[in-house]
Amino acid sequence: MPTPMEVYQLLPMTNCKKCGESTCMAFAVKLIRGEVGLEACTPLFEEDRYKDKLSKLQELFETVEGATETGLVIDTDKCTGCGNCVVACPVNVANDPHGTAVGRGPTNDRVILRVKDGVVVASNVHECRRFGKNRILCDLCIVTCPSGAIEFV
Amino acid sequence: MSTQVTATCPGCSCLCDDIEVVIEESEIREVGNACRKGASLFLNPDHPAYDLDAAIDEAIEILKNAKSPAIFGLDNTTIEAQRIAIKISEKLGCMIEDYSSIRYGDLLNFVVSSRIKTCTLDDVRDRADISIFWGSDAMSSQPRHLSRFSYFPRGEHKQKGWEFDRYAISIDIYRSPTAKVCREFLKVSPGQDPALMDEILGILSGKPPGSKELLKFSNEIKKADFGVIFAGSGLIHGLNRDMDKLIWFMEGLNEYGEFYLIPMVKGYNMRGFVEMMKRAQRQIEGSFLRALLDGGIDAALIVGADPMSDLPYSLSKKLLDIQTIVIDPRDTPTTEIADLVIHTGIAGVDNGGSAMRMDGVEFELVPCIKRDTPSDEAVLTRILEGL
Ligand code: SF4
Ligand code: SF4
Ligand code: SF4
Ligand code: SF4
Repeated sequence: MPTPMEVYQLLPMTNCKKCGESTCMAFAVKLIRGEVGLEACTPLFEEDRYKDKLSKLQELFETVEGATETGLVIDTDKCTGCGNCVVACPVNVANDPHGTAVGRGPTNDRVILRVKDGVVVASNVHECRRFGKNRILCDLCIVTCPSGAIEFV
Repeated sequence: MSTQVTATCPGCSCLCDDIEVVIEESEIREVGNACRKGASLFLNPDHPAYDLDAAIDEAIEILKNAKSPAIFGLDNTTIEAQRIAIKISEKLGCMIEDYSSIRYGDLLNFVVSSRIKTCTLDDVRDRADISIFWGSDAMSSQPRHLSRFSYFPRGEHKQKGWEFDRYAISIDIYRSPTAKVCREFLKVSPGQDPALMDEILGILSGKPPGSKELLKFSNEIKKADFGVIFAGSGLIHGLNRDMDKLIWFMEGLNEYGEFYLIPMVKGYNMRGFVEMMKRAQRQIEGSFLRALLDGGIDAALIVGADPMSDLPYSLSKKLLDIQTIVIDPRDTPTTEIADLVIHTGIAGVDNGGSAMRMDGVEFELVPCIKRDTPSDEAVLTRILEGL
């Protein structure tokens, strides 16, 4: 992940507030956390002089191919669909106490990880504990996987 | 228009009953919750049509003409089919056997007759403090075992989560995928399992431990109110089939808490076959391999099994010398070499029936789509009638 300063220097640094933030620095921090999208800084896209900065920023925040917005990548060739990650994920447990929490399939759509056609698929990734304001370095889906199929990039 | 049904998976002895199947125009489009192994059964296409009547006639002919036929396999078929197979063996006066004695010696008999204390997987989920995978790589053979029952789920008396509530250990001769996800891995040299049992009970009764891992493990045993050994065929080999040692060890553990054992059977309905044989008052003799090797069998009816893959080649090559009839939904190395193959449907997908989970709990397998492929039960019934 880039530092706020690195991102700041690629922004227009005019503090014009068009993005809804009071400063470019505040915007940079939220950008890194994934709380806002690059497109909110409209000057970047509208003014030609920011062209190079824009392309660098896009490169920086371009999600790795196959990665979800939190950087969660699942190697479907390695995944055996065992469901360990599904049952161990604290968000799944909290959002689905009568399904994944007790080892069964999900009973609602609020889970992050579920198994479909024999391999894990992710949704609602914005709820992942590694993401957002109060993020922590959760690794429960990684340590419970027997095949090394889950990675965060 | 698509419909969704909940199905039970015959992929292994976990018999997961939470499989969500989406059906569109009489085809299965999507399978939720099943592991890769289970999903492949649901997503498998149907077999091309064949002349069932002719195949059944030929099977009857082969069995009638055989001097010493045998029935083998049966761990991957329904209870209903097993019952008919037992009847066929009575009619022919022939041997009938599965893999239970080959892989687990007398273990299944001891469990079924309650000489070894056992419990259900639901008890495990709700109560187990400690799960011991001994000579068993559940992650490969029963992929959802740990996530549904033995390690990760919350249960009635296990509400804090696996990191706090449970301890899982793998005891094996190599670091298996199961060992990778367990809290602890204890490596045992081949054949040293009895010595390890001595050592564990020794430490529990106050002897100095030989290693840090053993001390930790012993402390976890002392702390546990409810523990389970998930016994794989590796344990039985390691014990050189000495069941008395295992019974002695289980009794020893029970001095410190409630300890149970569940055999991690391969084949989704091995437990069912052992029960059905017991109910029919028949012994599983464990003499099929010997008879095969010695030329004591001239025809084999193989149901839901793949001995060409499972047995050492020195044994399986003997199948090439005898007449073989294979009843199986799958294409396997054994169907490759068979004289006659009768492809059947998969129970729980194409056909119905029932089966026993590894812990002896019975489940109904309800077909989720309609296909013409006959069930093992239907084919065996017609063979029985024709004999
Ligand atoms: S819109 Fe862009 S330039 Fe304006 S304050 Fe926000 S980040 Fe800075
Ligand atoms: S990192 Fe934690 S919260 Fe995020 S998907 Fe994995 S287990 Fe769930
Ligand atoms: S734990 Fe790993 S192998 Fe199991 S379902 Fe999750 S990603 Fe797949
Ligand atoms: S664990 Fe076994 S029964 Fe459950 S879905 Fe996988 S193969 Fe099927």
